[in-house]
Amino acid sequence: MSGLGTALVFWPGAAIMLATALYVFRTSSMARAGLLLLASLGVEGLLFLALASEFLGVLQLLMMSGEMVIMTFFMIMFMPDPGGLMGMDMTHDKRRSASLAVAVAVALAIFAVLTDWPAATLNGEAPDVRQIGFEVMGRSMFSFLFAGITILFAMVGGTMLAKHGGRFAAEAEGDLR
Amino acid sequence: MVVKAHRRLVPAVIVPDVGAWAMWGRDLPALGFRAASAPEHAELMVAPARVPKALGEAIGAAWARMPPPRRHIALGDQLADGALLADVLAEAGQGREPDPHEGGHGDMDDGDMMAITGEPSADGLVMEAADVELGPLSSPLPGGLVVSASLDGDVVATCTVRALLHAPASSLAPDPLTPAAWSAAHAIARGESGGWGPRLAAVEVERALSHLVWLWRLAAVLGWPQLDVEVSGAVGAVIAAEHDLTAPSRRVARVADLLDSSRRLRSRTCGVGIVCAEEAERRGMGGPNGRASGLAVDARAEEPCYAAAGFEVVVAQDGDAQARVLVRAREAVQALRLAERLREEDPPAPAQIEGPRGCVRVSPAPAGRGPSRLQAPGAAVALTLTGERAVGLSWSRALVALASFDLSPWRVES
Amino acid sequence: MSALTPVAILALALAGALSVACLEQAVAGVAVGPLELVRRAWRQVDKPLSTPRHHDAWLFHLAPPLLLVASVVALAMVPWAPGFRGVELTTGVILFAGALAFVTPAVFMAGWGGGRPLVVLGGFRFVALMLAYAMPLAMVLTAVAAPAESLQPAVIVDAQHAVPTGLVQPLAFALWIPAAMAVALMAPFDLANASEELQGGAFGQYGGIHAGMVALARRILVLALAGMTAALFLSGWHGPLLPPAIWMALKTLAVAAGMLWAGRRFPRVELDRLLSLAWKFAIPAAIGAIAWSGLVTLLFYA
Repeated sequence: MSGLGTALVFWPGAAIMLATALYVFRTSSMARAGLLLLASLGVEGLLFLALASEFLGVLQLLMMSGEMVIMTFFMIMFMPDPGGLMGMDMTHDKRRSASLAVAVAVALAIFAVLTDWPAATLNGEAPDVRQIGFEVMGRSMFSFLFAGITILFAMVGGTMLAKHGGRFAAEAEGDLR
Repeated sequence: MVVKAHRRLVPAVIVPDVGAWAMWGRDLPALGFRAASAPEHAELMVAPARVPKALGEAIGAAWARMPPPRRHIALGDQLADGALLADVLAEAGQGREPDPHEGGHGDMDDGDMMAITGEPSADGLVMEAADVELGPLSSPLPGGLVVSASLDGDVVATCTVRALLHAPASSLAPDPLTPAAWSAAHAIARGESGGWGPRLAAVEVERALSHLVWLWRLAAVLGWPQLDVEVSGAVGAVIAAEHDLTAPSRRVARVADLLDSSRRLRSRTCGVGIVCAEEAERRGMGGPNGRASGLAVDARAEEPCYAAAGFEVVVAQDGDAQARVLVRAREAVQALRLAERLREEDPPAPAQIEGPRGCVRVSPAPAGRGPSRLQAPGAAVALTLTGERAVGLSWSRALVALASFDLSPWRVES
Repeated sequence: MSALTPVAILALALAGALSVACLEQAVAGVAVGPLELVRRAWRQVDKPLSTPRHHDAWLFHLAPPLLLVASVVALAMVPWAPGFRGVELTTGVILFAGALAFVTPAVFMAGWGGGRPLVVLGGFRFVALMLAYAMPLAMVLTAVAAPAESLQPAVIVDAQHAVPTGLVQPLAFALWIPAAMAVALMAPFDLANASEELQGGAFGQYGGIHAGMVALARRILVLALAGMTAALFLSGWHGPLLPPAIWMALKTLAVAAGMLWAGRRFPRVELDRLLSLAWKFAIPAAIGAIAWSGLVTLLFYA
């Protein structure tokens, strides 16, 4: 894609991505919040495609859809007001959490601006697939496995805790085993 | 596979339901109507000219949900008592149209409450409970039955089943879905001695039809098109058969074979809604439900004419939905065979009549005054027991359990 | 890919959806002409939209278009003939799976947006169903791509010029078929749109053009999955005597007819049973299929 074409897709796409991401925090419906996040991350996948990073783009679309829906599902399961209709306030400890969020955002922005990004553009037949394969199966394997297993533990643990009486309650009749 | 040119089946809200019309001798799919999955998808309302008053509100609500251009037709005068369909619809038309912009996701009425139950259901997770009401129309269960359940996730936490319909004391058949059985019971009460061959044959054909109609509903609950097609064919054949029962017998036997051989069916029905023999006996459950629980209760067992026609009580031991399926399938096959034999004979009057859902009795009024006492023992028990059996099951299993009991929407009160 | 490709794919989507609808009727034993089906579709589209009383308007109205877009993107990845390979991407198989992954949020949105408890339950059911089919589906794609050393569907088709993958990797094929039927909302895996159980199911509240979009999208999904099955497992357009496009069309229709037939033949599966089968049997078996695919690749293809 030409530079102008990329720019025409990139900037509006980035605007939509940020807007939907912001709206995640403006709604109190768990379903809407989760699906807005999916929209944001889906648009991010399209941005990858526009930036000619085909593999990352399609992978983002594939993975985020399933993950965000499952996350939404868990949010609906665990929240007392999943539809956001009882006017419950879902935020806690506002001042500290807001200042922490701003600090992290500023720090990330500084890193993004100051980092010396490689300027090389890739050409030819999808070299990124091969490179990502070696990256995932090599250096980054540990971190990927760690993240995956942590998420799995969190999901199983969350379900356990949500069970009536928590982890150690006696098994009721008909319990899933 | 029979490929036939087919005109379009019109999706319709059918009052009370397709099965009831089959019991009244109308094969609605052959007439070009099918039940719409929801009133929103219906183009037509098919109802008797007079509808039971208890259904008036539901009919009005369904009419309000039907998209324009909506039409209604009155097919026949099966129910002598009740409000005129036209009046019910006119009244519904005057009511307030539902405002589509009103209310958000949780602004609940008509039973769609969402709140936390507190009490966990069988899977141990405390979840938002949703109150669900199925019926009295457009449900896979007989029209006139209302199932009120609260769902905890997709597990049924509480469930009650109500039969809305009730025939007036003056009517001959308290359950219009089984007219032949009740008219035979009346004939016993009147002490009639002749014409019992055709009369009992009619009761048997009615039993086969009633069991088939029940299977039809089960096919819908199971989401099993093949069974639906086979049963539709058998229902149509039984309705169309005048004297020669060989064609319907063949089709009913095919349905029974299909049910016998299906492993997929067993995976849905085995162990669902178990009623053990001891409980069935203690609570007085009769009819095919009782026989599926291992009780050999059948009024026909005592009658010499049935014994001469080669009758044996069909009994299964497991007491689950699968047992109820098999008992009814075998009884349907047997009923058509019995009907063929009985029609040729002239037996003496039996002592009792076994209807499709159990024994039906008519006792003459004392001193010949006032209405006679009508009894169908076990009908009320089946309603409460069915509701109990659905609790703790996932919604799809609960529906199989509910559908497996063959409840009648008509209350018989003595 | 030329500028005409999107137009061709849209035309294929419409024509294919119509033939799938005809096939559905034929499998049900009813002969209905395509013109009559078009007339019925028009009748449906001509009806007013329905807006249920309790609904989340955004999610409710966005679900049918999302489902339609997902199904068309999936269809665009299918290679039909050497001269018409759809949208060719080096990662076409992944984007195919990615497009199918968006069926889940669409059904979930339709259910949640519908607002009635049983309709919401329909949406939830599909998420649970996704947990059962997604892993086998994705893992089988990996197993099929390995011998071709490519994620490009057309290359995978050409790698089967001698022997179809379905014969070389029967286990992967056996796992793929039910997963593909589940993602296409086909019976007996139609848990989310079980209309009798759920008062119409996840899509039960839609009327007019919404319902038309859902019906169209479901047919396109069937076509896309049948086409991809033919391409990935039955050597796509390869075959003796007949022209390639005809072979591909015949294989696709045969797969679609087989899936539709199976949907009528069996009662609907139960969700908890299916989940337990998927996690205890299908996912370990899919790992086995990947291992088998690696072995076959090293021995015969590399």
